[in-house]
Amino acid sequence: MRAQFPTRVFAAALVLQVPLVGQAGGSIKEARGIIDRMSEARKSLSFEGILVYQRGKNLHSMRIIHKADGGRERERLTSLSGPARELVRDERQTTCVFPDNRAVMVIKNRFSEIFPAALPKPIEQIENLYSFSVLGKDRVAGREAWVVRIQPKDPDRYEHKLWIDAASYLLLKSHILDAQGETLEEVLFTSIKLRDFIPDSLLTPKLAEEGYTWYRNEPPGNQAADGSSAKWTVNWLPDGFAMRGYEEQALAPSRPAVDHMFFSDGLATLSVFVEKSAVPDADAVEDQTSLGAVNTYTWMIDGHQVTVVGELPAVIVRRVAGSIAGKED
Amino acid sequence: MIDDKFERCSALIDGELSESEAATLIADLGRDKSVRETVGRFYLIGDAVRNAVPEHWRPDFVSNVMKAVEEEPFWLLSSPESQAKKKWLVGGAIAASVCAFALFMSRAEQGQVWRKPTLIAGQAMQMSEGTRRISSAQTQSTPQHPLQTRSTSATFAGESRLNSYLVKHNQYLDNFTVQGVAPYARVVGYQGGR
Repeated sequence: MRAQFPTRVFAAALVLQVPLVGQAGGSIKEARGIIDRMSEARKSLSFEGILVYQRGKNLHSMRIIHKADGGRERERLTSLSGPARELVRDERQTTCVFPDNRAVMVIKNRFSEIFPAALPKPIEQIENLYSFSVLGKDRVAGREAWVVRIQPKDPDRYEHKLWIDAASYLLLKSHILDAQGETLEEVLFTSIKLRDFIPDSLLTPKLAEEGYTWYRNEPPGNQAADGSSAKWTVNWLPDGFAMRGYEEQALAPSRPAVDHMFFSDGLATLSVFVEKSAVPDADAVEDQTSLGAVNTYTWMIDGHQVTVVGELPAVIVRRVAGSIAGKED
Repeated sequence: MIDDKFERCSALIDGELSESEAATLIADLGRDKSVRETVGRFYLIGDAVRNAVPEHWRPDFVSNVMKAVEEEPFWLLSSPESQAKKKWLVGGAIAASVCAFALFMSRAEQGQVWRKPTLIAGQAMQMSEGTRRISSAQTQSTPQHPLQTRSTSATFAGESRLNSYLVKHNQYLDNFTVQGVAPYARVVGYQGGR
């Protein structure tokens, strides 16, 4: 009967499309498969949608247009709430537009030049540090999604929960939770549409007008892919963290160059910034701040201001900061 | 742009506010984005005037700032002191457009909502061998004058610095981690949440 035919076709298509994970508590292998496909989906699919970022009681919405074309990704985010903001990025650079300040900043992306293209598969980086489980299915933005839990094996890092589109494997929603299960940060799509084609015109900055001032933050050359030229050492890190990048760069006018070391365990990230204090004898200000899942710790070492920024518990960020020392010549 | 708030920021920088006025404006720094932007502009203009900007910035940056300060129209006010200050305020406002790049790095652009820094005095800290702690923050916790220009600027500058660090930190996320949270959603979503 005609009424039954579409249902049988739909059911067959769904069975063929969806991996064999039907129940809560899916195996690690199944969770791994979903996460691996999620990592690849964003590199190969074009989409647009409305994204909401929530941190505590603060909620901000933005529009995202993402284009994947021949291995190249480009993306444009436009704020829909609060002051207008626009960000356009590709593998070469990130362009930020701030209409309220009539300014455009272009930050060159140096990673495609420096680091090898062949990085370990995402899941292989973290499966020794986190346990994976599939909690079942849910609905996000009107789409069915797998719910995958990534739970740390030690208390030094946060838990992540991912809602991954069952059809496309795009990430639809993510939570970062603390050890008490409280949600520190949430990002989710309230609407999303896959596109076969996105014209390049939708990926060019629109908010910048005539008369805006453009600034290009071209860093001075002082970089080492392996961090061997870094002038500081971090003597303690959570298990699994390794240095993934090092730069020396002035981040703002009238400020000295900043040593920036970046570390990651494959999921959580940590940055160490060391900047010579303008006033070497200044009274030290220990400063600890928290912004959703991001914690920072700042203090002085030998006339330098050291700041650690990381998506890690505050006590861990502070411990890393306390282990930093200058390299002996 | 020329309004009471702007004038009060200038007076704060110059140490000309009364104790109660300074306390009120310092409190506004934490709540009012426009006040933070204005104070940030003043500091950057000062750097440009002192030719203290990095060499690799646009070579005409300093001259543009000075030109903007000098060329703005100058309003007739009741006293020479007010007139001089007004010219500076107007020039400062126009020069702000030239200093817009610095504001990108300031907490205003990044839409901070950093928790106010807590000055930790005398708290034990596990340190690795070879490091030493300079000093604690006792002096800042007991200011001699409500208008602690240095502590105010330190707080403001510290938050500006944190925001620039966040941008830089986010630049690495996409390349080295599992493709989870939409990259830069934090940057775009960091807006005035006060």
